[in-house]
Amino acid sequence: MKNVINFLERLGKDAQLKSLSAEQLSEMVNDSQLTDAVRLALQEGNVAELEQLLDTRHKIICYVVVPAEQEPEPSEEEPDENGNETKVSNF
Amino acid sequence: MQSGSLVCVGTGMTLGSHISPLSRSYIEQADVVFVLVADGITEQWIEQMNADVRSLQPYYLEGKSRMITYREMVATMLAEVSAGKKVVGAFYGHPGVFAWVPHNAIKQARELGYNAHMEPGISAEDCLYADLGIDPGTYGCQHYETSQFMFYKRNIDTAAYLILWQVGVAGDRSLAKHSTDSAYRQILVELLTEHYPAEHEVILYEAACLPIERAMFKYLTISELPTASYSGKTTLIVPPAAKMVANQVVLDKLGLLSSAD
Repeated sequence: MKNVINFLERLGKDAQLKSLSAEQLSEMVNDSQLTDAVRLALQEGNVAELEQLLDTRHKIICYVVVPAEQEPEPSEEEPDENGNETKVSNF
Repeated sequence: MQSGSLVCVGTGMTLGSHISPLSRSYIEQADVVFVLVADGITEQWIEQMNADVRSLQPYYLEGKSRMITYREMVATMLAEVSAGKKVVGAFYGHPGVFAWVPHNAIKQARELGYNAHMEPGISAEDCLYADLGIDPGTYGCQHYETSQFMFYKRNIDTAAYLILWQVGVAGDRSLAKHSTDSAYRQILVELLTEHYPAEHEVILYEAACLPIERAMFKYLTISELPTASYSGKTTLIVPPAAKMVANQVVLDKLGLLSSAD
């Protein structure tokens, strides 16, 4: 399936391929060495089918930030239960 | 300086189109690459660039706070840095835009005495400007993480664009949901309609991840937001609803300066 990824990468980075019509792109897919099922998925723009054929990871989560809470006041040192000063982590 | 290192790079939004030559080179030359991207095909693309690519996806679990998930991701990357390896974190879009993990991994690595830095990538925000033809300089532009926008009182400038990220998990205080339902977005609507007409037209946007996809944009009114469908990649754009008001006091002062010249 490495060929499929290479094909997609080529599509993504070649300006000439970006300007191909749907028919021209379909011809290019037909001329490729890819399997019939992959060709069909590419021609139909069927990403779900393509993911299945490539056996990719399912249910990708792409959240990478949390709704930041207000930064606490500078918390250099707080006494612990015994009255000792301890550093406080601040995430 | 200790021998391990960390570079967090952006892979851009669209496979093959956006990654910088330098970011790709960091991935190819790393001892280990941790990857967090928006789809499985792009993950396989990154896997082709290095023999040791490890996905951070398994740390996500429905019902588990994302804050725990993110701290685990940072700890996992730092463990390899501490082992003396050249570590790369490959994140979709820009690794420093609405991204807690890369910022904190770099901060902690530096605190431990390791070299660590970030290489920028093309973000969803960059794609949005190109796809929708919006220039943030025309009227100004405000960006908020949607839940943070809901949790805190903000001064909204309705003469500028308002862009809300992660609208798919709007209002989730637990940080443990992978999506929130229409009731949450109804509260967002109530908040927005304090400032905008309910019939004000807004846009839901998703950048293309694969070169065979097109960017998605759907035009709807604020009142229709609760019944629309959302994914983890959906962003809400609220165009200006008011005209900019001239600041005559400042203009008068500037006028005095120019007449004195």
